[in-house]
Amino acid sequence: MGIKTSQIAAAAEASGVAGFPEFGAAIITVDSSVLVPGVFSRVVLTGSSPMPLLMPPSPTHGLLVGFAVTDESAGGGLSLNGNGKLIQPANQSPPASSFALKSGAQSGLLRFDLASDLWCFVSTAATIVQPPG
Amino acid sequence: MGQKTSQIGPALAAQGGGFTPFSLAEVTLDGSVLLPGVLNRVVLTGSDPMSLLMPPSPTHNMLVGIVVTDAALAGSNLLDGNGKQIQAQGSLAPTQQLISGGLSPARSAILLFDGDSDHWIFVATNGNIGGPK
Repeated sequence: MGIKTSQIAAAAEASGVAGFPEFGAAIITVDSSVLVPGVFSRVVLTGSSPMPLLMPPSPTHGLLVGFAVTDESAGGGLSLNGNGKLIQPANQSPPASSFALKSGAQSGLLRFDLASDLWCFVSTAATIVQPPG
Repeated sequence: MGQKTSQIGPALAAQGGGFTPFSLAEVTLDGSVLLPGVLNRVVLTGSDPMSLLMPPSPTHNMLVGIVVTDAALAGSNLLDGNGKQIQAQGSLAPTQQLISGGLSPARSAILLFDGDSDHWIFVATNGNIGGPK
């Protein structure tokens, strides 16, 4: 008996190895919005600098949260708040409850690690430069 | 009939193991058009920058990745939106973005196309996260 695509998708989702996350349906346009798990939340800058965003409350192990600013040309940074949990920063910095993100087409993908009880960046986009001229 | 783990593994592997898989073909020429849905393996041509084109007429949530497999050779990549803009760093979105080695020579990036804003957005690349605020 063959294996159905629907079975594969369900199995992948259940095992937490579903494919790379897509954009979320909703667009975040308000300060202090709570990010949606499982997708890249599309963020439209409010004009606040930094614009505060909250991680989902009471995260479970492996919970994945992404965000991407869609109007980076508006300028301004983001402030990511762990909403009760710490966020692991760049190398040689201690975890903190809130981080400002700077320099780049702002986007990030984080997972919650229950063992260390903090959010870990698994990717981000920060060092992108325009071509000369 | 239940589904065997041995069935799920190969099925997931065929899909890329649940994450964005490498492309089968290698990109070895200047001006090549990147394939959607995969991490395109790029072999540097010696041009600095080496030009690469995004897929034409992208659809919402289309994913395109690149990984330079011989970054030890140095040289940068110039990513051309091929008719669409690529979101830049705190500025207007031009049609081309230069991806430089920066702090990490293993250059890689994943972009998603946002149909609402009609441009490509970096959702992952080698970069930094700002310190606590």
